[in-house]
Amino acid sequence: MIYPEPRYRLAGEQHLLMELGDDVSLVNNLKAIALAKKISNSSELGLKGIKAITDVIPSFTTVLIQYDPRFLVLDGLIEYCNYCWQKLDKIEELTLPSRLIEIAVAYNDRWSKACYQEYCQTIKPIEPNLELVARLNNFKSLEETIAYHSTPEWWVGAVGFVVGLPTLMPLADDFYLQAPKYDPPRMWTPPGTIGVAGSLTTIYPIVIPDGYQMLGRTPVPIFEPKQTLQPFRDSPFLFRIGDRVKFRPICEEEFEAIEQEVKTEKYQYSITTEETFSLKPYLEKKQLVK
Amino acid sequence: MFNPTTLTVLESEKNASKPTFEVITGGIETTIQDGWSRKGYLGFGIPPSGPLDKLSFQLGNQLLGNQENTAGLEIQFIGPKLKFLAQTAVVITGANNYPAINHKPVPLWQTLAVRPGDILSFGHPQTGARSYITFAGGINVPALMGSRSTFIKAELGGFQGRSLEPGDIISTFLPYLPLGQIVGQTLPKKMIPEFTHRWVVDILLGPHDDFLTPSDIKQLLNFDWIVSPKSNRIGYRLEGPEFKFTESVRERSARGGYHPSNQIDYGCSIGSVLLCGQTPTILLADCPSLTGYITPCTVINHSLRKVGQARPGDIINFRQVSLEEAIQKYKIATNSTSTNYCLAGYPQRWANQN
Repeated sequence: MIYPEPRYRLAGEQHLLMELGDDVSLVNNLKAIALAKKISNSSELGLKGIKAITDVIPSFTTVLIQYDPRFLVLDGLIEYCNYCWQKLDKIEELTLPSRLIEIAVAYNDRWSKACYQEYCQTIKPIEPNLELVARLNNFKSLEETIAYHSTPEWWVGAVGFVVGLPTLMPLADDFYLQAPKYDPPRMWTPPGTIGVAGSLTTIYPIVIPDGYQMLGRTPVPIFEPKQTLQPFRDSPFLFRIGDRVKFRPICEEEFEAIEQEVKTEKYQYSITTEETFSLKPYLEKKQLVK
Repeated sequence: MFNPTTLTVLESEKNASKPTFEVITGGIETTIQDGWSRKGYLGFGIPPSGPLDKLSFQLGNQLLGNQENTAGLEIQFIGPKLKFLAQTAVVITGANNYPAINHKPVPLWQTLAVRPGDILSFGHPQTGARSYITFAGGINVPALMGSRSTFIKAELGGFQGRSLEPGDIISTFLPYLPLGQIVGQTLPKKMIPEFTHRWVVDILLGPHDDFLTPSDIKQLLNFDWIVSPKSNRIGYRLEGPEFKFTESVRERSARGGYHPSNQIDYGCSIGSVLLCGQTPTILLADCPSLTGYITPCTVINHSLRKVGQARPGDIINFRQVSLEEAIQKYKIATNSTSTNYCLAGYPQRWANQN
């Protein structure tokens, strides 16, 4: 649900966490994105030459606001956030530029399996990740799980964690998975690993510790600090909030072939031109708009 | 959209620079860091980075007459061996790692003169985890997104995005002040920061303290948390007892098949104490910007240096403070004039550069 009023949580003396609702939905996410944009334009605060609000990070149900407590007191910040909340456009009128990006994935791959096995040997034995996701979501086979995960378009609802890592939700309600996170987290994850936890999916741009269940691995770089490959000319990060992702299952041979193409800079990314994503048709389909 | 290859002109970019030292051995993980920290890039997953013990780092720069955020080296546990190629002045601060020039012990917290051919080497610190070498003028590497700091995980910033390796030759800018004016300057003893094996770290409860029971909170505040060896610049893991979580969170989790510490991913920051399953994890300078674990409490800015200096096996005690106290200490930690160790006769040339 969306809360009638935003809820505020204190996150230290430099951060305020604004909570808009309690479930993963496109409506909550788009509200958070629009709100973050409004709040970060702190010129509305009337402070000239002082950057009182230093960063704003939207996610699925929250907006994290980083501010400088030397220039802005907590009560004033909350008042400002409430003001931005009230000034927000109607939900059905929210739009975002959006591209559809295809990501090739070798599901059930040997690299993430090796990482999983190391975890079992060095930390504690756990269920194989794909098997666990299949069991928890009542799939009959691993193939069915893979088909299910690679069917819908996935929505990039948040970018961050580390260097352009996207967090994705399915754009069709029938495709909500569920999976727990590792406890304790892994010490590392192979780059390109596709992970799921809760109802969300992620793609790891680099080697990093984390806790999502590992389903597969993509050979396609999504972070390129040298900015040599074509999609990275303007930014070292492939994904922007509002992009959509379609996973294409591939075998390990194709994985290695694509990996080679990437190395020789011959790989062609499959990215559509930017279109306007509007919430209205999506909501009408869901019959949420009166 | 920004173009991160655009270099930001920092404090001394206009000054000339020259090769100052060569790396003989790199130590366990020696990186270039500066105090500017990357600001405004959390939305891309770019952390602030920078020295974990910013206070020790800045004191080193101040002894040299540098702007206090000028780039230097962060040493973790085992130091590097450096050979100087030019005459300059350096200061070693932070954990006492028994520095020596040409095998002759030299003091920390004091401006030292070095000549071409001199070898700077280190022993092992017994207390504290990180030491700093700052150089008159500061290290010259390209600034990326407003900072020269190294973010090793993503191979960004610093020297080729990595820790120093044998054969690397690093340049520094020309000193701000004549070497004769700064060599021999010593920090008064009472200004040397605290080093111990038991660190009292100030926290504010929240954002998710309501997920824990009153006895969980009591445990969080009263237990002697042990620093795990699985700790680094991204985060510090703590070892201790398990949490119970409130009934409503446990019920919600059981329905969803999740752990009660799991949460829909949300923005987090440096200082967040995540509960990763049952493992409290304090996020530090190279931290993630989103997390799916709850954050029962947050370390205040002023106490972050203590976490960064804690060694595996050291004890961390959390002390709850009020927002007023946290903001008071934030002002101390971020206001350069209050931490500034002003040496007599030093021109305040950096006063207007912030």
